[in-house]
Amino acid sequence: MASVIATDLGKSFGQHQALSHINLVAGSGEFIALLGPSGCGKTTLLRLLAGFERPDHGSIELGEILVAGRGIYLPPEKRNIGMVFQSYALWPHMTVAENVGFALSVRGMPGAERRKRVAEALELVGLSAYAARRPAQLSGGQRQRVALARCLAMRPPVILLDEPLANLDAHLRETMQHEFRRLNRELGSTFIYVTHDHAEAMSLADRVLVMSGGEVQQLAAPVTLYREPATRMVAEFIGGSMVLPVRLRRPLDELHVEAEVERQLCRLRGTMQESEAFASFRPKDLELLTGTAPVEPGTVSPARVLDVIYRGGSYITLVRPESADAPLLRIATDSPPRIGDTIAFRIRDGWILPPERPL
Amino acid sequence: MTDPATAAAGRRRPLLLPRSEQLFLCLVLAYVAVIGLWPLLRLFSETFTSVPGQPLALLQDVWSSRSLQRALGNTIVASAGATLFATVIGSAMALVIGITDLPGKSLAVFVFLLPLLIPPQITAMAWTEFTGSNSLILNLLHLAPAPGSANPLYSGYGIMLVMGIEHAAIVFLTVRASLRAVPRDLIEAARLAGAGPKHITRKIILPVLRPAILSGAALAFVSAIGNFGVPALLGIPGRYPMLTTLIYQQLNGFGPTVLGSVSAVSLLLVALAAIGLGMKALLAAGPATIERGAELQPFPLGGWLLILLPLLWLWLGISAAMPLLSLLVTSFLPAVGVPLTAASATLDNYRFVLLNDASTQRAFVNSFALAAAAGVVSALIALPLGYFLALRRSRLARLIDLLADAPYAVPGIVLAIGVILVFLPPLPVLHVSLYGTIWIILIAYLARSLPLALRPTIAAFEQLDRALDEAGQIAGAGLLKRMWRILMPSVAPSLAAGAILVFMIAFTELTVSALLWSSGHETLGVVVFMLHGEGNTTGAAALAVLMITVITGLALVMSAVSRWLPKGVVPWQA
Repeated sequence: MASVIATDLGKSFGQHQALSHINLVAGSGEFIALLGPSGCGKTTLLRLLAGFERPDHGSIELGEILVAGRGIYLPPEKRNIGMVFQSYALWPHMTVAENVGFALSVRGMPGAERRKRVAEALELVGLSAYAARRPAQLSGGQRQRVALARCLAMRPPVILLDEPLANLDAHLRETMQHEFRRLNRELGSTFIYVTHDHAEAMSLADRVLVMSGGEVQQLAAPVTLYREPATRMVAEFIGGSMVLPVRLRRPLDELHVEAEVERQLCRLRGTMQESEAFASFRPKDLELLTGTAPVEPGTVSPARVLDVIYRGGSYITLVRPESADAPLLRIATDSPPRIGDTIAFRIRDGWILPPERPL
Repeated sequence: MTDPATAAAGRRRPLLLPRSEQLFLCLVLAYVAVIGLWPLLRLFSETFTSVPGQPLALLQDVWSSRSLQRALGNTIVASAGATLFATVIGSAMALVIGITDLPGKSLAVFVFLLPLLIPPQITAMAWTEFTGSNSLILNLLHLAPAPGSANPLYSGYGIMLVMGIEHAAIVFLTVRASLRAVPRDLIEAARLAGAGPKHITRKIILPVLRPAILSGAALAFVSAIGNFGVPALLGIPGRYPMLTTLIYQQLNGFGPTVLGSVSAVSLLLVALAAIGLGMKALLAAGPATIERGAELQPFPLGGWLLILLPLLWLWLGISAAMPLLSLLVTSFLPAVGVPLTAASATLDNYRFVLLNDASTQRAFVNSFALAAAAGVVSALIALPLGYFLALRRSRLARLIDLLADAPYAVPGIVLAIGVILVFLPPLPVLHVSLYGTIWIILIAYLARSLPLALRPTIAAFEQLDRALDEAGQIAGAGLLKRMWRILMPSVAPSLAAGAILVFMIAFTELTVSALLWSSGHETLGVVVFMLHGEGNTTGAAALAVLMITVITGLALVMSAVSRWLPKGVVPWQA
């Protein structure tokens, strides 16, 4: 059952087109990450789902109820959704328990039942001992948990999270990521999670919606995003692939194509299309040849080592191929070559980007 | 391409308000329109339509009057003189406080800004006690004028002096605010270039402050032309009529029959105020300075301290302490002219105003009730208006804000005439006239006090994280519930500060109530004025001392809690 359906959403602020043609169907209990660089429209999309903004175009359904579009607009207070804000937005004049119980008291829930629900929510985030404190007396991580508990107490079918970990340190962030995963599994609520950190999105979400310039680039599972990016933007933004021009020669089988890249022949994943195409390569798709073993001509290319950067466990070697106007390439290596040396490299893998979609 | 900056700005753009919220704002608009706008518009229509077919007849009629020409001339001359004086004193004080390491700044600023707290007619009264032939202090110094001679302040120069000292506080506040916004880098760059403190002050700080000094002067001028208390106490006995006192005397002498011609006169006041405010708007468009976190590093005074410190306190003593002390002395005298000794000192005046005089007792109750009502109601209106203005960026709220400023920007006496014009005829449905009741005073107070309550509220909302309100929406709370349970607690300190500011101004107010009061509905300002006018100077002094005590007490309470308020809410803080 789908719990969030956004259809052809569009939103502009004056001259600025913040969102166009956004489509999203989130299944019940699914964990979706909205990922993209700042200004890509992901927060605007979240605010449209919450009801803080009205779409200019398209419609939104939450739990099969139309909440925006086709002349209908339901304000946030009528949508029964949960939201964790980047600033946490804890009310400073209320205690932790009052913050968590506010939504329930607005709904007129009797005191005894409300206290039970508040206690449960605080239990879920491990803050039962802090019920009587004020937000100012808590650490950043604890405030984050209160914000989460406040949202869980409502037991909303959909929870929106707006970069909730942006203000936490790296260690705490990892702990909270586990919490989010666990709560998503245990509660069965749909999570829509905004972040600009691709590692966070990949490790948390069932599916990631990658956005750029107010448009959807790709909506797919993390593995697919990583292995088979749909656009150049996704390839470069997720894990920093290199996108190079390739010349496709012939299909090898249903999943592979023989192609020429940097004057060498190689086997790439993807489907045959017009001969001039682009493919994405990760640093570990390229192999630096160190030995003196003889190689088949046309399967390696010479390059000059410009720099070597240590990246915990392995090195990234920056090379410039010797062909004319070749781009800089990054190659993952286990041992560092000498800067200034001329080396040879081989391309082991790559993904042919599908042709640009007509807009 | 997506520019992050525009995207971020996009998120702060005004929302289309849902219909229920629009309705809410429309109620606020109706409130502002009835209490403030309607009277002002009525004033215009009265002036231009009272002689059918000849819209300018009334203006021409008034214009040809000799007494008006004299009052207009006096108003311009005295206001210009007072403004010049206020600008010199206020700017000098702002410089001394802002850029030197003078000790005891907080106290000096508090004393310097006392005229902001004390109503003009009491300041003027204190000065007449200080400079009169009976002045205890001047007699001690053998400087008092000869007995029987007129008080030297009963003149145009007296008005300039007292108004100048009073309005120096306005110039000071404007210049200090600008001085605080001077980027520290400007000064530090000059230091690295080898410039000394004097050079930096002359070549960098003063030129940067020039727009602020001029705009402070414009504000002082607008305050001076609308001032009623000082010309009433000094100009009336000194036969130096000004526009405000002319209007008062005409209405007082002839009653509502002269409403048409005083409306025309009051339009002259509006025109003068508009010139002043226009000049301010023009001058404020100077180079924009950017607020920086770091405060200006004060220049060490060194040996100059030994000259500047005594000079400053001598001035503060003469301009603030001596007049108030004289007022205090007078309040203990059995009669004017009796020297104060241990044997002659009496509490009779206090007994009189607190226990014996019925009108004074009524005035205490009236002024307290009026000021409290004005404070509470204005704060309650400021809460939703401030919310829609600062947090929701609503265009309609911005319009209401502009309209609400109008009754505050015009001189008080002008608003009072407008209120009489509107509420003298019986109300449409109820068929009762509010004229001659306490309600007409309340309406005028409400119209004047909304901007005062609104400023601190807006400051508080601008510091508030909008997500606090949005989290309330997510929790399912509607507008009224959020107002009550989230927004009001969040801005409560500033809301209270606004209400107290309104109370302090309204509690001692004279200009508006002088035209609107009626027997049984006196205010404290009116009673002090009347006691003084009847010659009961000692009683008036006692009442004035009591009023100052109440006001200063409230001011001290506000200073004590100022750390919980946004910066700039408490104007007299150093």
